[in-house]
Amino acid sequence: MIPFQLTPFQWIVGGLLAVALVTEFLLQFFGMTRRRISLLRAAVWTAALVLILEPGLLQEIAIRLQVGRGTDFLLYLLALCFPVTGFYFLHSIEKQRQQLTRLVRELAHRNPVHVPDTTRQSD
Amino acid sequence: MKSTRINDVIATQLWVVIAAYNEAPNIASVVRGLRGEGVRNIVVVDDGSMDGTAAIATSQNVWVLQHILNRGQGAAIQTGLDFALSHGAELLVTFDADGQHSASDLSALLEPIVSDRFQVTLGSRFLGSAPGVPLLRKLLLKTAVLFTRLTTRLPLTDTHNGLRAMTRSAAGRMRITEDGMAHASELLDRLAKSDLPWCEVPVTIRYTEQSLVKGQRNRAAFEILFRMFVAKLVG
Repeated sequence: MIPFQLTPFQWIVGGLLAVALVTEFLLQFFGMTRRRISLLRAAVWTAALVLILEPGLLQEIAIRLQVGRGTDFLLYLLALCFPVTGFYFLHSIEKQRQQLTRLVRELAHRNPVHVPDTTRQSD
Repeated sequence: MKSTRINDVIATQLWVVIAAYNEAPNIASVVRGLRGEGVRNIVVVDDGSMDGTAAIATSQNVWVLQHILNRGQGAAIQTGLDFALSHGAELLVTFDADGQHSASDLSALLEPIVSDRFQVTLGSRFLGSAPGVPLLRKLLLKTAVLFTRLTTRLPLTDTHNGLRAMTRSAAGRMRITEDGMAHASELLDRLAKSDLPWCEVPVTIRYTEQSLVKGQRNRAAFEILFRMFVAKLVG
């Protein structure tokens, strides 16, 4: 992995990922982000950076796992991530919807309005 | 002719819950219709209306609760049911705010409960009458009936009819968690899973041009199906 052997794509994307990684560490250092989320993001940036700089690595993993090419391995990973992420967001949205309704209901119950009609005696 | 017992129940034990969203032109006449039948306890839940529905309802000598945000008919009905239950309601009726329901159906709806034969009664337009129902709407409703029969095993003739009555105990056991129109299906689902005795009662639904424009759109059927699917998935 010698710098002058990198392609322009690797320079650009690798550079962006390196900036993201440094930003993540700075945010963490100054306590501006939650530790667990920051570490998770940093792990994703690092993995992406390694795979961009060393594309053969993905291919090697794919061969070892006997899933064909590196792109196939990536496709399987994405196919797994998509429904997991989908369900996660669906669950989150559903939970937020229920919480919002509970809040709106609670506020409604706190301020019921009843103006008796004094002109009618039957009520 | 109404029996004295039912008159007495309507006046003392019954709470009518009306979920209203932008129903300024109808809400006063709906309340007056119920008053004409002797209903004293009425709670209107204004579901974030922007047309002054709450102000008009307030002038009608009813309880008015206001959702600061529009949360849907199911959420508004449950808000009203909770309020009525907390005020000691023994019998509860859900009633639409758009003027489609007829207050004169109340006695027939309550009779099976008052006579202690059932705990839940559901209005059925197909046992009663629904003049002016568009063909496509009728087809969709019939499909919904078929679907509900398959999924709940309840031998129903109407599914998305907002006119229903229930006892205090039944209302406590059938809490609505669906905010939107899917609450009607959810309620039937809960009814099917409970051992609550229920029956259908013939009622009249009046379709007016206004109610058809403002009421459920036909595509709502698909939204309800999707909501039911989501509720099963993550509920």
